[in-house]
Amino acid sequence: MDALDKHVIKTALETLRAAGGTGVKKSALLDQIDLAAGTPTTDEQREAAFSLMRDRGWITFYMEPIWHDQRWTLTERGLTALEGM
Amino acid sequence: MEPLEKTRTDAWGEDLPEKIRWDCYDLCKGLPWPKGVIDQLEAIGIADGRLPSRSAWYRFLSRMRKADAARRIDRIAQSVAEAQAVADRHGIKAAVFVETLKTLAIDKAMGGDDKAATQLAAAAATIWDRAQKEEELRLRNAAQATKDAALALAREKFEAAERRESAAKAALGDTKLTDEAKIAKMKEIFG
Repeated sequence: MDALDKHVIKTALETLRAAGGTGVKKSALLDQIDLAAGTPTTDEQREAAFSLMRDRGWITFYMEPIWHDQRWTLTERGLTALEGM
Repeated sequence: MEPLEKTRTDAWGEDLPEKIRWDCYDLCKGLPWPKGVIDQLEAIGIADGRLPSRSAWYRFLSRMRKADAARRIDRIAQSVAEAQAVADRHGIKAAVFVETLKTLAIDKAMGGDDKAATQLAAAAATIWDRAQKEEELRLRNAAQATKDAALALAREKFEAAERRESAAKAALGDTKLTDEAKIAKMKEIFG
């Protein structure tokens, strides 16, 4: 992971930490990844960053009961990873 | 959050006040270069000699996008706190409703509109208040109906007692009846 990737991932994890247990929608998280990268990213780049966090067990989702949207939150593991960054 | 790299002090936009810098970014980020951006920058008050070159503008945008990501994190934290404060102010205890307020606030803040987030949370709280008042009114009406029914029953009992009393008085005052007949009549009246 280079410095820019790390910065992007850290920003995404910080975003989830701020949102707490409520979490954010995936599209919003991808937007945040795009912003954090500085220059516009491709769908593949955004998805790659998202998959990295998901596959390492740093983020998880739940079904929001009112609108039935998937909302992503930070896991205990993700928090530990964030604190180590 | 720490910026990824140091920004040159002579980079375009660094000498602008922070508010103007954010105005430049917020108002111009979706506009085409050069026409839309230059027109908008001039409207903001950036003088002709201080307009950026194309590469300076894109470097500025790149820096500001990263700063925008950090700004959104702050907005999310503020919105969550504000939604919780609104819930506390309105005495909202239901966890689902508090969570819904936070969801609305976060989604709006992620869209870059933190004022709308607060307004939405406040609007939702007002709806909650209204719903609570309507529920209170419904319960009060139901209690009143029960009270009315109890009163009607008491009145009915009272009127029956009055009727029995009048019948007893009439029987006692009737000189044609013998004492045995009066006792029999009383037993009939009072059961």
